[in-house]
Amino acid sequence: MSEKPLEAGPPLHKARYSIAWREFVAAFPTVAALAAVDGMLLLANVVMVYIGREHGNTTDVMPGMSHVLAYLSASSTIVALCLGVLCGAEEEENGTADFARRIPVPRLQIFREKMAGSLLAFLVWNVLAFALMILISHFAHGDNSRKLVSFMGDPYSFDYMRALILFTGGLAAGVWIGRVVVAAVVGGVGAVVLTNLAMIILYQMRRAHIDYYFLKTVNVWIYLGITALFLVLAAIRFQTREGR
Amino acid sequence: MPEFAIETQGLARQYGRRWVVNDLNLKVPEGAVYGFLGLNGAGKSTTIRMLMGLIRRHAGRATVLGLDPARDPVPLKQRVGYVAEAPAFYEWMTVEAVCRFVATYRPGRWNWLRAEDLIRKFRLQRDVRLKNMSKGQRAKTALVLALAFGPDLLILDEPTSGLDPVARREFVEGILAEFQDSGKTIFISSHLVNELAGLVDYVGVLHEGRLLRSMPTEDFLRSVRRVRMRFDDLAPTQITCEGLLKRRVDGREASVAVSDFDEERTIEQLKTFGPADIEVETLNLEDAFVEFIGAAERGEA
Repeated sequence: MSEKPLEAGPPLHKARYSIAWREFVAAFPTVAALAAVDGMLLLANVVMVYIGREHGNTTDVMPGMSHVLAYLSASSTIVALCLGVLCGAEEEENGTADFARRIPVPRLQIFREKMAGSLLAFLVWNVLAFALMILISHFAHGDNSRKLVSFMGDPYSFDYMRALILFTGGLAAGVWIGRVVVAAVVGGVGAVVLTNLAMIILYQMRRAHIDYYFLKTVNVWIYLGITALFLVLAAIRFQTREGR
Repeated sequence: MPEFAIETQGLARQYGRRWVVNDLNLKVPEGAVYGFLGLNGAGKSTTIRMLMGLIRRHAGRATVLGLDPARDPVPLKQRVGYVAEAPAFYEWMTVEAVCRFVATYRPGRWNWLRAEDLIRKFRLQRDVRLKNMSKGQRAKTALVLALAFGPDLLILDEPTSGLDPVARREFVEGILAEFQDSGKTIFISSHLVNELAGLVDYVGVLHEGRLLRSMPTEDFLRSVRRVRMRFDDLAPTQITCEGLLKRRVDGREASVAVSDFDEERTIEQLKTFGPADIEVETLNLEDAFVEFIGAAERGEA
């Protein structure tokens, strides 16, 4: 360790270091790793198709846009779950949550800032995913980005609500359990069970010939309700849990 | 301005069925250096965490600088410098980054010159990540964060446990003494009692969650004494007196440690055993604490 004379070093100066930034920095490796895995899987898929064509395989197995979107949608929900769990449990597990509790900040502000950092990381993930899709659609299908946006606008192609539910589910489980792996299982399973329960209710309503557009509205409200429930659960625990 | 920087009434906390702090009535005067002494597991850290609003109390009341820690934890933390027994940080940050981080949440109070000065005094390297630091360096960093914003009250939970002897002396004789001179209050828990001897002007002795003594240090040292006796024949084995903490008999010599020492009364009582010579010994803070707490352990204090 080189001993730099402190007098000769640059003076400490004011700069903002927020909890949101910390959360973003902490989440970034996870996002980058998952993006890299996604990119490699898709690339391998495309390469395999080209190799197949070289060998006379004329079947069009090039991943279609809907496949790519479904794949990235699934990836997004996994990323959202990971970010939610990390946001809730990581600091609790490694003991650094106590650091934030000791500084003069309202606990719910810490909660808000942490969520903001995680959602910022999720935004970065989506930017990466979007860029990846543009590349794939351009090289594989010659599609333009406008067509891609129209695909993504379809809630059945790219379900952000599901990602939000998994994020908040992971967050709530993380805050209450404080162990990353256990919280990921509990939060993931909890979110899936609740969303499937909602789908069963919707299915039964559809069988009762309730108006389709009304059901779509109900669907959104159920999703929002589940998200709100997880958020409230997480906030209660965040506000009341004890520190050192 | 409240008369007491810290005041508790019947403060209590339990973990499971066990009361780790029980009916604690504490009064720390403004401007005092209060040594909060006790064995490991006595309830010192739990008390401090309740005073900082980090854990809930299960009974009683507490005010710190006139604020209720349970209701006003944020204004309280804005005014109180706290060093925990196990400092927690974001490990990837450097000393400089962690200072900036904390400074963000102490607007208007953080003193960069003071922070630089402390970093220099503690010989910390500002560009080293906290995860690569020794226990002592982490303790020093925690002290920088607690002192650089000019707190009105300093609450230290075993602050010197990770420090090397040089840094410990520097901390106690330099930094704490300087802080004390500014007329602000220091509440310090430590098992290194002797180091605090010249510094603390009040002591509180906590044992199994109960405050056994809380008084000016001088009064405590006056109240706990050791009396040595020499006998012409073998010393009697059943020497006793009021406030007896410990008895040691060795041939013609005997000694007793006494709490609530009263020169006239204690000597009078001991003379009834017929010693040829009696000598009263003043104890230092550590010896007085050890004698006192030893008796408490045996249920005799």
